[in-house]
Amino acid sequence: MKKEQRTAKRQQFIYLLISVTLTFCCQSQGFAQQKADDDAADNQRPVQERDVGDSFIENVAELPGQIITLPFHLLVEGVKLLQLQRGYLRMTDWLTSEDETRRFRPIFSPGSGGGGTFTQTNLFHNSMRLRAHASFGNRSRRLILGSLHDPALFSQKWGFHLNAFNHRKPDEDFYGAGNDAREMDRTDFLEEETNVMGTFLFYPRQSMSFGLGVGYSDVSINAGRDEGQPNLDSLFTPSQLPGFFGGTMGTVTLKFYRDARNEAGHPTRGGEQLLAVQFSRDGDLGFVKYTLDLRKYIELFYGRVLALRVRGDMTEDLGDREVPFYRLPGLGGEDLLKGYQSFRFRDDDLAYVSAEYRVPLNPMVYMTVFIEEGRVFRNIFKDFTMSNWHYSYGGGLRLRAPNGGLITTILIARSAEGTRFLFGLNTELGGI
Amino acid sequence: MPGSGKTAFVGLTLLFILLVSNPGCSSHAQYTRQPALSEEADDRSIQQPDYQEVGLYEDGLENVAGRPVKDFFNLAAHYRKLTNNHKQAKNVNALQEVPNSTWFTNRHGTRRMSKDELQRGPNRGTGSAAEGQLIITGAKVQGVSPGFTIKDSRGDVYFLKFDLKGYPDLNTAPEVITMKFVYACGYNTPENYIVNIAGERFRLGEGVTYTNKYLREVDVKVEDIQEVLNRAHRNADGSYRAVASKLLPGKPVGPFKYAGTRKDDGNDHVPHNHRREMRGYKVIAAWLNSVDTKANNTLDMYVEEDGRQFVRHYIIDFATSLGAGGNGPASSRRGKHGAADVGNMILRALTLGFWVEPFEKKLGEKTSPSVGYFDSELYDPGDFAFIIPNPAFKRATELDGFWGAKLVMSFSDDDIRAIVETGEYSNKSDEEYVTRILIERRDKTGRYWFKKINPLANFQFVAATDSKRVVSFDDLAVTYGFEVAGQTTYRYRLRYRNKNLTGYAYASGESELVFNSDIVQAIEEISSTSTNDSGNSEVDRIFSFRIETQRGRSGFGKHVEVYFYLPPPGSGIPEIVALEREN
Repeated sequence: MKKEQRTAKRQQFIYLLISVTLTFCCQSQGFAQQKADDDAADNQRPVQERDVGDSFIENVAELPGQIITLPFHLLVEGVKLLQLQRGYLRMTDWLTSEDETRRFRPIFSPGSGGGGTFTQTNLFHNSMRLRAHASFGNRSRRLILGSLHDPALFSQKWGFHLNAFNHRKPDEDFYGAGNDAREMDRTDFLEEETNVMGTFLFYPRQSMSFGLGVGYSDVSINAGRDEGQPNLDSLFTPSQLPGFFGGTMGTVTLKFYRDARNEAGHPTRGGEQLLAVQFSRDGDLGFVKYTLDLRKYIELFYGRVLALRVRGDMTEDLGDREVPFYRLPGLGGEDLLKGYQSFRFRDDDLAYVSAEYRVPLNPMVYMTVFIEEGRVFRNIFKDFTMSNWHYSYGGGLRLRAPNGGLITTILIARSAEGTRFLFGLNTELGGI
Repeated sequence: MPGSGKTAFVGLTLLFILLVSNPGCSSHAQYTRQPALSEEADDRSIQQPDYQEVGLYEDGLENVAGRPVKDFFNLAAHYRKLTNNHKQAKNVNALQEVPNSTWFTNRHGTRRMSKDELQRGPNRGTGSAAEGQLIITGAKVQGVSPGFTIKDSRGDVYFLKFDLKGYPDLNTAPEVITMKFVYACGYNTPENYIVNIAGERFRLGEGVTYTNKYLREVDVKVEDIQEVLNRAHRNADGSYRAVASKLLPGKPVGPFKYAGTRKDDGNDHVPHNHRREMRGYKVIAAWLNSVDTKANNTLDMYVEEDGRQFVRHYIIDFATSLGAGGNGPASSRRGKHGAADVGNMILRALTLGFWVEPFEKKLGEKTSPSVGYFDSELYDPGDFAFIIPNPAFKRATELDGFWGAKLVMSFSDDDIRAIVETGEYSNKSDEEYVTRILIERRDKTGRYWFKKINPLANFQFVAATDSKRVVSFDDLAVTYGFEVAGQTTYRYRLRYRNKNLTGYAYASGESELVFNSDIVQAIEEISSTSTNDSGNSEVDRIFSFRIETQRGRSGFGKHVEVYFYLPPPGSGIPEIVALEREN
């Protein structure tokens, strides 16, 4: 009996399907013929008297598309109705001047969260620029930053840069030092740093600068806010990790920077070179850090760009003072080895190479494919080896407004430890 | 099985009702003897419509995202595409032409304009007064194309747009040249003039403000004016070259969209995406490399003419045409991809950029600063992309394309030369270059579209020497030199009420249809048997020729059917009453 009912239902369905299909086809053919004939007939009728609407069946056939795009239309109508666009523009106007000497940009990065950056140029002085940044994220993550930059404060060749920030990172990770640190040893801590640094700059050429910076930083280390991870003190003790509770440090930095890119936003030729030496010391802590960061852009053909990067970080204890664990060079995160969690590998020294291939998909959208390798060492000169390097690869899109304004980065990076999705707004996320 | 029987009954009843309610299945249209409609009569008096704003983002989002998704899920559209049964334009007359209206006036396409007329275009004066102060009454001091609204000593109001520093003629020449082509085609355009103005003639009026990009009213200062002038190109004598666009007559009521109708305009009956002149503009705009056909580059004006008040529709901005990119020279990418060509982006991504498109090899190619990138080599009339997808262009069929191509082809080399001259290029070589490229692009346009449709046109009855009747026509592909008459064969047969009356007759190389003995006999038979079936003897005497064309050794292509009224012997001359073209 049940089988018969099922058969009957199936037949009902088939009949209905055939009926509807036949109806649609005949009607479609019908309206097609009708339209063709009506066209002929219509062609001799006054235009204002013609039937120009769609037939019933066509209106029905358009329904799926109408329904699917309904939310889109509601959004557009809602925006119009609420005058949100006007409101947004007015808000932007309040913060952004016509000539963009005053400018506001929304900003987002995984490390700092979402917020905005306000920039005021021509402050007191022709070339003086003030920047204020505030962004907030989950677990009370925050970055409050202010900077004053004037590349020609004293003369055309002598400038000054003052930078101060408070950065609260509630879920920093530490896996233990060493290139073989295990994923299972992941621990969590909260790092809050307040930093002030003033740098005198000398510009022998417009694209080249030497800097001497003096700064002060205060770092406090507390229990991490990521409840899914064990705390730092569950695996490590203060005697194992210098700077276990943080500390205050004075810093002196010497820096050489050369920017030979043909365009800052989307370079296709040229390169950047950074060489920095940083001396930091406190009562118990102290170290010297050397950084070499070289980037090269090569246009392969018709706008396709190969971007290469080599970076080396090296730290040395300053006498009997040690490098605090949170200042150890690290791999993983938004910048170096994007397929790994932030600071997945830390040790005294670091070596990193990457290659990124960029293809313009249209004038505003670039696709990137990258591969990167890195390794940390206890002592890069003594322990250097080509084995056990960690690699990460991936790709994504970079969207750039025609005026270089809005930059959006969407990247997917993969490594031996999984896949990470990275999103950044107005941030050079993972950029070479 | 009562259930299945019931379902089948309901389904078949539904089918029956729909079929019965659809007379199209069983009837066909019949032409009557009457002249083709020449006026749309959409200029009846109406109340002034409200100003209609079309937001840039709204227009862009709708056409870039909303409409394509809607079309993707439109089953009827897919069915039409599969069966090559496209929805044709709704405002054409029986000869497949566009009647005059508030949108379009037949000009060069139907009656050749003289050189003077082409060069004058819509201009009725000489531009802003040559002497006296020019009072700045409005300004657009920011953005890609800054300019002023000025009132001259005669009291006429113009909007001035300048060339950018380093790019003489680049912005101003296309504004005039493209406008004159578009006007000659039949569209409404503003009066644009090239003017050279000494800087000291400008004077800032009282209380002039402008709306900045954040929609805030800002006072215009003398420094702002100077800033605009500083960015403008100066002639050798220190004057500024500008295009002066005369204020349109009437009251502005906002731009028109290329789809739907204006609800507050009682004369706006045909959805704009179903108007042939809107669809066919695709071909003209592509020819002129005019890629920015968004709603905001149009304007509806509420005008008063002959005591009637109605809306006239204008196309107003040609700043991104020929080789002008609006904010500098155009690139070779122009016309190849729109702002968000997702399909192309995916393809490029999948091929990791190793697929190089021809236009990319031309990027950065050195061009004249007065012309920008404007070529014919990479121009593809069948695959031209506009910055934002245009809903009327999306609906364009081959018939619309053919109509547009006929207009493009109506410009002879001399016509093109005459109009380009009015761009007043500083260097003769630039003028010659633009002329040459337009000629080459015109030919590509014609060659492409005349292959898509049987390009026979201008049918008329002529008296033959042997007293037999002859229908002559122009084979536009042959007329314009794309095909050779000697390698072209036409076959045709007489039809009556959608039925063939005779077998095929053939005409090789000759663009005329002769009434041979079979045809004459068939007509006589019909005349003797037909006894006013319709009660209208004129309807009963409407016959048609269905004509197909063969080029070289290829098969016969699409047909064109020409309907004609054949009066009884001795009572008048035959008349062409309608044309149908296979799409």
